[in-house]
Amino acid sequence: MTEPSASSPPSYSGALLRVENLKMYFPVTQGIVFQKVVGEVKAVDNISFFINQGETLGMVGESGCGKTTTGRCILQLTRPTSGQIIFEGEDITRFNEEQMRDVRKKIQVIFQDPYSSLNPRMTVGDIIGEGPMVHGITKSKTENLDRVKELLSLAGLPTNLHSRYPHELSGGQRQRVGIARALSMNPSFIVCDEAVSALDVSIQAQIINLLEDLQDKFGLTYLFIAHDLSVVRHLSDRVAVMYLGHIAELSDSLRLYTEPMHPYTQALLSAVPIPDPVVEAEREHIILQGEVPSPLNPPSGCVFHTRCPIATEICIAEIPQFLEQKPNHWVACHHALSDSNQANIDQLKSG
Amino acid sequence: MAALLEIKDLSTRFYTQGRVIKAVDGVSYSIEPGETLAVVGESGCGKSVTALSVMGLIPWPPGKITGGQVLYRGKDLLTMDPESVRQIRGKEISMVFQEPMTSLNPVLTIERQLTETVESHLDMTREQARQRAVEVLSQVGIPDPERRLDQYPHQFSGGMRQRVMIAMALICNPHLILADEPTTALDVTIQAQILALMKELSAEYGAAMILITHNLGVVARYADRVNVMYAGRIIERSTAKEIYGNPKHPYTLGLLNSVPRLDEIEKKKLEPIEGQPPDLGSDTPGCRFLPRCVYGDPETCGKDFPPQTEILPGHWVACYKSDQVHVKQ
Repeated sequence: MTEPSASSPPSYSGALLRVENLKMYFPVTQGIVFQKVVGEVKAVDNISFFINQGETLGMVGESGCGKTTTGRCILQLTRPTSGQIIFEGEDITRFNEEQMRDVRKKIQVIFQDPYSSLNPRMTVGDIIGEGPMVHGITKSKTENLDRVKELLSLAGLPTNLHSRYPHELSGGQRQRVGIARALSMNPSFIVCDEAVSALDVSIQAQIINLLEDLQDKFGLTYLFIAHDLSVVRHLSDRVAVMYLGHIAELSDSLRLYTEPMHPYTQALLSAVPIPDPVVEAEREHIILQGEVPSPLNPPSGCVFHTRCPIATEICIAEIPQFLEQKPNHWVACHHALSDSNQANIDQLKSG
Repeated sequence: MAALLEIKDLSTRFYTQGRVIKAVDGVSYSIEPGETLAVVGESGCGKSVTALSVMGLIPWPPGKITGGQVLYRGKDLLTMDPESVRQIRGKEISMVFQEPMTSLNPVLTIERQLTETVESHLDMTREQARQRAVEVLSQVGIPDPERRLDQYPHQFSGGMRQRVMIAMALICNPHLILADEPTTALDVTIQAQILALMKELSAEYGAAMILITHNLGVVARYADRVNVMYAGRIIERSTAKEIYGNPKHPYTLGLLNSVPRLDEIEKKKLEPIEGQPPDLGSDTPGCRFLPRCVYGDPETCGKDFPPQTEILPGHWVACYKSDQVHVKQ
């Protein structure tokens, strides 16, 4: 097994956020008193990407692919094993807690579960107003309440909701409270971790539109993490597809759909059903065999080779480099430009 | 063709904290042998409760079937004696539940869980039942079934557990499978595997399938006919092609406009349905969708619940304004 070279990480210096060679390994321990490390879960294994000011980068993949861990590393909720996270030109992995406090105002998060991410014993007003109060943005109680009301109406909620408790709200309303909380610090960057996944379709569409409106209004930058490829494609300017701790493919959202170069992206696209029986009847369906291997003991070489329809010997032996195969289209696959892969792409296009 | 299962005017209510929740409120539909019928709707619309009512799995208290008939091959399951229902349930009608993580008993081996139904319904010996279990497990694509039978649920992944659930549903050669969100907890590549498998096996066994889901994509790919439910009632039913191509209920149209499509080339703004589903405990007259409807007016829609009318052959809609509902081109 050869180490992938760190050549040409897809980044440039003008980006709002750059992630370079990020690794997050979680130790697996055995024993109770004398713990010893018996292995590592390679949740995120050497990934690099950048996000420009004002854009939305979508991050999609199946459970356990490392998308949430990537988000948590950017938020510094877990300290990465190695690699750099450069926000506004500074590597925040080297920051201490004091320095992080300032950064945390600018980087906010919206979580998946609107039921467990709000403190049940705090009123909506306290939940949203806590940040501005602690950071001294609002000086008095009345000023704080005004700010809370302003945020509530931004999130499309009635302003008298501030005295309510989370259990009195519906799922969609709670997610709006989560969004209002994220906006309370005037952030420039928001990590949306499965922010609409727990919601019903009609409510999901409301929240997606709200996120888009807020982005236009405040020039927000999003990292939108989700497993639903249709939602990610809809919201994102560019999309990164993750598989078992690696980014398989990264390109702009339209090209990812029309010209998927990685066999995993192709399979993922074909697995997502389109809500139209006429289109579905004519589509080619690639059904992947097997399941995602354990990140505790990932396959050698290309991590996807155990399920890949076009894998050859080189895929078992060598980790493919993450290369810019076409302008702004990054792929980690030995066969990205091969004829058989091109034939697959053409077939998907026609179907 | 005679209907395999016919649900007539079924009502299921839950009595909690002094309130009556009308979870299912006068639902009627039928399914024919071998077809796949999708029941689609959002959380709390009553799609799962309908299936549980058919299976006789509504716990009392708090739930109770308060009216209607469930006719399986012409016989009413609701008035049948419990022993006869037991003969049908699990054997001729089986169910696949949503949560593969919680629907299996963690302290029993996979063999025990699979063979229990066969032994009680088909009168097989332990050894014959084991043979049958091996056969079904390999049909659902579990490698090395002999060895896997002696293992426990925690040794299986989510996708594999759902395969075990499907094996349990198929083991007695059922005529009807009720699949309640069978793939919602699974990743999309596994979802594609499981649904393709279910479709293939139900064709092989000649079994009809009621697919309960909230995913409009899954419905489009796998269903022959579709029932759309809202707030305890069926508001539109027709073939899948007709429902997606020519929706005539404002709610159906709203749902279709709410989902982002993977194949959208130019980005379109989603058109969500404003507001929220109604409280099923409150007793408001008229159409339940009226508060969220862009077509409705209180004059016409606020008095009685709109009756189901057949606007085109096989296309039923419960809406007073359906002639105004059109898909934007």
